[in-house]
Amino acid sequence: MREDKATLRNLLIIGGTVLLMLLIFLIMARGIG
Amino acid sequence: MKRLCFLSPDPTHTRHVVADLLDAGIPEKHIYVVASSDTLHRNELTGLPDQGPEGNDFLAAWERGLAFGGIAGLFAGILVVTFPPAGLALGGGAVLLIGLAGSGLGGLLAGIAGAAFHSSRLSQFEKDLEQGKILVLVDVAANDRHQIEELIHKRDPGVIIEGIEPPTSLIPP
Repeated sequence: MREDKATLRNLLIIGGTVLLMLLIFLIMARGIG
Repeated sequence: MKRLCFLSPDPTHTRHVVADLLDAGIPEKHIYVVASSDTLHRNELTGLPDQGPEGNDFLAAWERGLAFGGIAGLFAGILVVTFPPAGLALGGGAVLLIGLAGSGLGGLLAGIAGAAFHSSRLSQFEKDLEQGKILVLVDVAANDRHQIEELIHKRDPGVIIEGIEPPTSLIPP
């Protein structure tokens, strides 16, 4: 049960990081483009 | 809060100790039972508290990756701004953004890789776990420590109880 919770948290962290990086690349692409 | 950890020789002993701890008023969420995957696959630990976030090294690796990736990204950003590729005009903001991107990428890759390993905090117990022993972690209030240690010793007088600090992670479990 708690293991599932820990996995879910890890997935949330991964998802959050991916979204953050997408945002950064978007900002950079707009700046360069 | 102090985290006590000790090795239990077999599943039956683990069950007894965990029952003792629960009887002593320690909530189940403060007890973690860590075993090798072999022991876990034999389903001898069904019904016991699981290993929770101690099961793998994701969070620790993610934090390390974040730091190293951030440093590498900052250097890369400074490099790009100092020697800009042809046709690109980059400002100071690029250093920050490339640093952040490096940090994110480092954290992501290190974290995913770390998820495949046992928690690095428990590396000193790795050998014992492979031999089939079971590691029990208990979070106790600092004042109750001696009482709980006595309780564990009552079940197995030879057991060595070590104290490690509970993890202070960036993100609460």
